[in-house]
Amino acid sequence: MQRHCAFCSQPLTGASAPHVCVSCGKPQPVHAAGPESGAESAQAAVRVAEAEDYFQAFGVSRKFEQDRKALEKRFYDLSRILHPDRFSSAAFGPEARRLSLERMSYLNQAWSTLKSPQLLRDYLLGLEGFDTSKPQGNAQIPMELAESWFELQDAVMEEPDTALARVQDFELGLRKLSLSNAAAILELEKSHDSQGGRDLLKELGEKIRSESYLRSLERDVERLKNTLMKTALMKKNSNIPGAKN
Amino acid sequence: MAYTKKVIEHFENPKNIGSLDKNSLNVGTGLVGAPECGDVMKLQVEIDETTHIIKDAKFKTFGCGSAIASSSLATEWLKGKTIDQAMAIRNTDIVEELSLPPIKIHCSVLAEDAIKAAIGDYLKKNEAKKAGTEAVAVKA
Repeated sequence: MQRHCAFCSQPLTGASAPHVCVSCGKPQPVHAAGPESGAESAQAAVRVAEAEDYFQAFGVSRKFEQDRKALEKRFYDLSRILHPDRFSSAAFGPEARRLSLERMSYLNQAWSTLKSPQLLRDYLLGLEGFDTSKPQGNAQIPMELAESWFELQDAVMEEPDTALARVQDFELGLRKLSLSNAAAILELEKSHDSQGGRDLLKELGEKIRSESYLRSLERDVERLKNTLMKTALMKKNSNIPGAKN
Repeated sequence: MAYTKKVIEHFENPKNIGSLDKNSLNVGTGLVGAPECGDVMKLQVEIDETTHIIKDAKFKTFGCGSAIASSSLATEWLKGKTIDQAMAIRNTDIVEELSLPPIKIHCSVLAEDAIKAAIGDYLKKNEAKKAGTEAVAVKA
């Protein structure tokens, strides 16, 4: 069975073949190519070393939808080839260990990003130049939502009696918006995967910012609701005759 | 990080809280929200139609101390300024005046956005009436 150098991917030849590459002179990790062995695995290892992004490292196309079972299998296959434990023996120099560490940590980062749909989404958008992590002022939030959030807080201060009901209504509205927003995100991802296009990515970026705004509103509404409920409870208790005893 | 004295001053004794008649042609209203924290800020300006000078400014903010102080300071600065001068106010001026820490810079951005939105609203309301204001909007 033909094996390939884990560093330069040239075929390993000669009597000492499994241990030192004649092309680049580097000692090979024991069982370097893993159980499947062969050129494919060695090339996979090289691909990690030369990858410009996580998708390339895993040899998959730049899409939102990924077969995570297949990615996981590839992660373990590649780990078997690249893991620093394979390079712990004295036969390998410090350079081989350094490279192994570097590649394995890149592979770990890639895997932890690709296995999470949210992280993969942000990562892919970032690669395409749509950074969702840096909100820049007012331009990026849904205005109508900001307005109704302002009006709600205004009403809560002006009319405390109906405040709790209003807040609960608003909360329900937020939840509906979250759901439809999440559905729109999935739809846009599907369209992008099947037909590509930067317009879709731009729209997706906007939806994701809406989502993060929705989340911060949900958090604030929850806080407001708790405050109102505590106030209502305290008021109720103070109205019970003899409560002070 | 504790709030600076100036922030606390504005927070405890905010200037120009309230609202102006948003239906008036001389009033511009800007409502803005911070994407990262849910703070919302409404800022209004009343502008003299002949001199283009801001006669009055009011605000209402639901948010943290820095957001309240930023908008309070903004309304103080706005009064007596021309539209051009108002549009020239930068969030960095507010950061400097209130010594806001990096984590609160977005509050000053919100205030600058609110000024721009309020004046933008005024100009939009009046663009049909006054041809001259369009040049102001473009310059800004």
